[in-house]
Amino acid sequence: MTDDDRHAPTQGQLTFTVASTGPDSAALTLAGRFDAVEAVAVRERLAQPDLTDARHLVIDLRAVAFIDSAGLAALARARRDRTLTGGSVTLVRPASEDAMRVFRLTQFDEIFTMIDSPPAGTTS
Amino acid sequence: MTLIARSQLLLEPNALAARAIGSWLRTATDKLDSAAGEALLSRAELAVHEACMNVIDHAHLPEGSQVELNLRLTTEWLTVQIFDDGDVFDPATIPTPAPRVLQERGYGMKIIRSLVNHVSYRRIGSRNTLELRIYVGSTDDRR
Repeated sequence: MTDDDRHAPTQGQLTFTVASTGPDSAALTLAGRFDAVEAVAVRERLAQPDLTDARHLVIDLRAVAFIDSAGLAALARARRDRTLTGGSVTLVRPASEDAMRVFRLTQFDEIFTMIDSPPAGTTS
Repeated sequence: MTLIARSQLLLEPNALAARAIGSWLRTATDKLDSAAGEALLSRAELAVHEACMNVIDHAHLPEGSQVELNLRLTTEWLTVQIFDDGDVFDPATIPTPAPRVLQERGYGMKIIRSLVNHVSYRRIGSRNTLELRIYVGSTDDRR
């Protein structure tokens, strides 16, 4: 059997929500497909003052269904920027096993602090 | 070993176009039983996506060039070949990231190697061919 198709790109826009959770902390909640297309937008959002001012950042990935190496790179940059200034990035684990697998394969699950649910008072 | 599906996909070399990979693979993996198809799809989509993004980001493709993918699914193996006309890329020369050391780049090949059973590369003329093979019953990732 031969299928020769031209497949339209699937939709999968990443949505993000930001909440201030303290004088120097914030929560960024991501939902959807965190791939190379969306990593650019996440980097741009992380560069805006409300998030650059947040030394302690929680990134909630529970609703992220797919993440690739470009998504990981955006997370790595966020962590690097904060650790240079004594801050921190904490990740809330993706519920999707497929997304969580990427963290295990790259050992990002051992580099980042990963928790199962957002700390009290940080839900965006 | 029975042939289940064979298919071709042409991709414009950009990240948005690469989103077609998942639905393209699904037309083949949906021909397996549900659990086997979903398990195979989740491995294959990420591995093929990373391979194509590597071409898109680093191969310096000639103007107007596309990335060509061929798929062959049998009762035992999913084989995906990725063809491009870009720079020489031998995955055997790509170092594995140091364990537990954070870096922003260099994880694509690590992810591919962890998800597939065989990776092979050939350069014929000005064309690269990367072949990824996944055993249909694979369940274990390699770290």
